[in-house]
Amino acid sequence: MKNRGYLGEFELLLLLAVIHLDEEAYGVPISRELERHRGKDVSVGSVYAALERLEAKGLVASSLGDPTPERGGKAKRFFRITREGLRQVHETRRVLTQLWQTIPDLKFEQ
Amino acid sequence: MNRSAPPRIASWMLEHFMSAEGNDALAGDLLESFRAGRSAGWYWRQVFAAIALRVLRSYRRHRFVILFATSWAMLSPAWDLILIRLRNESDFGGFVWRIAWPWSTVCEIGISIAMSFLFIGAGVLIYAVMLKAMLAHASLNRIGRRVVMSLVGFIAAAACEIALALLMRPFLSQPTGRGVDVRTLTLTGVIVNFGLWGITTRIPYLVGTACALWGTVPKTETSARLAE
Repeated sequence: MKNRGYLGEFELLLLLAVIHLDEEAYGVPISRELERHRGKDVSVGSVYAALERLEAKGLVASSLGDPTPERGGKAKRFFRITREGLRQVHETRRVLTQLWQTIPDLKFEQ
Repeated sequence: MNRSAPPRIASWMLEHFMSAEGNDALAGDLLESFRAGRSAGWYWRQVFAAIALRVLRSYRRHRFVILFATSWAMLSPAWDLILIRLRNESDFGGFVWRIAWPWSTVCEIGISIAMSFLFIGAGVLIYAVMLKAMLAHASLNRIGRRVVMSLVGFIAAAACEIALALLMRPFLSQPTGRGVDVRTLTLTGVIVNFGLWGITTRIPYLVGTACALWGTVPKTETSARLAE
C-alpha cells in the first residue's frame, strides 16, 4: 500500500518554515518563524525532536555548518526539505483544501 | 552574570545531559538566542524542556530493556530464597564465622554480590539469545563495559537502599523480634510478594540488569551520525 503519510500540524508548520527559510533554515530562525505565526513560545528542543523525526522519515535532511564564536564555537545545523517532504506537503495541502471546500462558510464569533 | 553568558548551571546541565545525543547545535541555538536578547528565565525553560524531551525519548527507545529488566527482577526474590536455603542447608555460615574479621564480612559481601551477579548475568544471556543481533556485535570491550556498568548499578542501588533503610529506621515500627521462617516460604510465593521485602529485593536487580543492557540499544541514526 502506498504510504500517504499525512503530516501532523506541527510537522506541517515545520516543513513550511524550512521551505520558507530556504538556506537559512536552522534552529533559531525556524523557532522564531513558528513563534511569529503561532503567537506563542516554542521549545527549541521540541523543534529539534520533530525535525529529527522528519529526518528519520526522509522528509528533511540536515548538515552541519562551521562553528562560530558567537554561538560558543557550536555549529549550526541546517535543514532542507527533500523531494519526498515536498511531495507530502503538497499532498497534505491538497487534502486540507478539499476538506475546507466541503465546509460551508463558518461564522467566527469572538 | 553578564549578557553574553547564560546561566552557568543551566549550560552545565545542557552540556552534560544532552551531549550524548549530539545536541551541540541546540546548545549553540540557545546561546545565540540568549545573546540576541532572550531572558535567563527563557534559557532555563528551554533547557528543562530539552532535557525532559531527551529523557522521554530515551525511555521510549529503551522501553524493551526496561520491560525485560523489570520482568527479570520479578524473579529475583526466588533466586534469593534459593540462595538462603542453600546457605542454611550447607555449612557455609559456620565456615564464614570461622574466618577472622574483617575477612568474614568481605567474604559474605563478595559472595552475595557474585551470586547476585550470576542472576543478572543469566538475565543478560537470555536477553542476548532473544536478540541474536546483540551477540553478533558483542566484543570483549563491550561486554567488559556492560559488566562494570551492571556492577556499579547493582551496588549503587543496593547502597541507596541500605542508606534509606538506615535513615528511615527511627520512623519505622519497632521490629517484633520474630524472623521470617524461610522453610515456610515457597518460590511462587516470593515471586508474587509485593511487600516491602519483595520490592527492596528487586530494585538492585532491576537497576543492575537495566544498566547491563542499556548500551545494547542502538543509537538513532541521526544521533549516531552527529556523534561521529
